[in-house]
Amino acid sequence: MKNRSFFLLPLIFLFLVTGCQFFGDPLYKARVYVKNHQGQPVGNVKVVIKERRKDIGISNATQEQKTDADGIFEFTFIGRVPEDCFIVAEKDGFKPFEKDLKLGTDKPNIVEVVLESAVN
Amino acid sequence: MITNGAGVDGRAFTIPTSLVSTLLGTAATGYLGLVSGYLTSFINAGYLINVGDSYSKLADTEKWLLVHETAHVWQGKNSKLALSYVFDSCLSQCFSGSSAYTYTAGKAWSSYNVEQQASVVEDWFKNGSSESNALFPYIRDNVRKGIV
Repeated sequence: MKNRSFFLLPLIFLFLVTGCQFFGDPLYKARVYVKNHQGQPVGNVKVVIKERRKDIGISNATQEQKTDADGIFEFTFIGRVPEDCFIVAEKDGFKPFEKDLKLGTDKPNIVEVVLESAVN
Repeated sequence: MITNGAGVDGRAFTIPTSLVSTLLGTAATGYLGLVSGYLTSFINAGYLINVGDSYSKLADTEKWLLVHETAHVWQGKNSKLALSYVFDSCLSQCFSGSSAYTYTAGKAWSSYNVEQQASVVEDWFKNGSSESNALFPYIRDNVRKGIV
């Protein structure tokens, strides 16, 4: 009995440390490419992914950010990806963009946003 | 302490330092280190937050990740045993996978597992940390009062 407890405690601690490595918070990514209708990257675009929730209404599923000059921004989600969500992209001189998204946890999520000029 | 270390597949995780010191102590001094580590787990002094690649974005675009991980620190600090949230997290993910993080607002705080609680705090932060937010009652009645 004494021998059992001698090994049990180290095993529990080892299980916890190993468990943290394997069952820590998984991080999922969604890479957003923002282009204009000519296919050129558009920087400094305000991009938000929002989640529709029955319990708390429309929620910011993740951070609101602006794209770099290369028109790319990467969203990160912790633990899960939002199920019912949409992306909103806005920049002066372009029509507001909104599109529903289907994000997955088993594949890289690539989202393409094509902004149309507000002047036609 | 916050590091850029990560688990499998770049997972972020937060552990009490007593967990690390216990294993190191056991390796170095055998059972004595184990026992002292076990005892310090009740009065754990610190936490190690590991966020992997997100380390450089914590002050900017991924503040919410720090909020989520800090919620685990809060759980450890406000539990009788600092390690209990680590157990809860491992077991929740073993049995529920990614749905361990999914929650429906409106239920009792104590009915949520540790990942759901951390997600509530994270979502409240992402939505502006407002008192008018539907998640605020959890912050007011549980988080601020230290009720796990």
